[in-house]
Amino acid sequence: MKVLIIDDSKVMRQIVMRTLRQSGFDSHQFVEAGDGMEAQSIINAVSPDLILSDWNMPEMNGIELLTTLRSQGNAIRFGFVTSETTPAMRQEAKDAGALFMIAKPFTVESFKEALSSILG
Amino acid sequence: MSKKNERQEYLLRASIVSRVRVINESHSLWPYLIEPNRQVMAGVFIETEVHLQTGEVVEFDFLQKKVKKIFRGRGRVVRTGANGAVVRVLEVMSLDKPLLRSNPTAEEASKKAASNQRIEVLPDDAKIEELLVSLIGSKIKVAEKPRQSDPTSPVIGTYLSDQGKLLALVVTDVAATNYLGASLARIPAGAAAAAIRTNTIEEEMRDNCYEILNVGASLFNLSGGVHVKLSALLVPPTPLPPDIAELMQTPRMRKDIEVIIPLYETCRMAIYIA
Repeated sequence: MKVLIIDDSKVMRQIVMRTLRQSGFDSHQFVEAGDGMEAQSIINAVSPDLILSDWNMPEMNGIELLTTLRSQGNAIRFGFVTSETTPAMRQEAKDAGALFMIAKPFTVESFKEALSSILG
Repeated sequence: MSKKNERQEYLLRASIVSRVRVINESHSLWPYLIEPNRQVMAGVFIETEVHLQTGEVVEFDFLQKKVKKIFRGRGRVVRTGANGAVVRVLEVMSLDKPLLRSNPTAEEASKKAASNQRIEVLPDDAKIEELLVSLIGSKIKVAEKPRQSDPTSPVIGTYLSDQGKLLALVVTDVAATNYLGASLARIPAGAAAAAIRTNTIEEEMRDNCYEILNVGASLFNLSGGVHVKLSALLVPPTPLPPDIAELMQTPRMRKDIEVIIPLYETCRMAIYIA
């Protein structure tokens, strides 16, 4: 599977990939984007199977990207990995079609719990 | 209330003190002095996270275990310490109320904090350690340390509420910023040491430290309580804005810690709560 990791922090993308590998998902292909705008062109180019996205990013944030994808009829599996996890944001993410929200700081266990049914 | 020493100074442990607040108002006499001999209560050390200044008049409620009642004391702060203050007691009265919980529950503290637009609880060492271990991935140790002097070239993370109110700072120095930034990206410690020798912070190290402090906002965001976000990371030689300088001078709560990062160096940090 192709997994697109979207975060405006390069080091955070690295940490997400490291945690994916530590969680046993190292056989998958990882692709990176720095914000929602960049992600859109990558999605068109490589058609990822899963998106792990930060919420707050410049240009286009995570929820804007998800809303745009769904409005285009794109049902790609989408989850958030973010330091912002208020109840209101969780509800907004769920309503927009996100499958899960992983809070930073995250652990191998939280990745396994959220992703085993998708990447397992 | 336990006797601390033979000089009639008593210790009011945090576990029996339910409220400490500064009043600084002219006081009236209360009808119920519980200690006929005022010398007995002449000086008490009150364990509290409330930041008190010498000379302030304070009120404090405490549980008198022998009679199982809550009493309210009022006195003047004569000396401050890392964990509280010595108060010369002026008066003590019985509140004649049922026993109070000495500390609010986390939920109560959160609700109070949200309505007051302030952070009520300092993050504990274990939570800070857990956060750093999850990000950096090595066996990091965090330990609270005695209050240290502020760094000459501070690096400051500022945390604002959703309403834009400055509520907390994390203050560290050039060395810690380099070591934390390097360890997050697994850059060899030598690169950080070279930057420290020239008192500089490369953009990558700054960005990495920003990420740590950004995720660190979760340490202040108790469920249901006030919500804060990292607003900025100020690095030298940025001049300190007045509100930040003021908070560094007079925090309501402060916690100094050291962070031991294997293969790197021990870093110092301090948390200031408005």
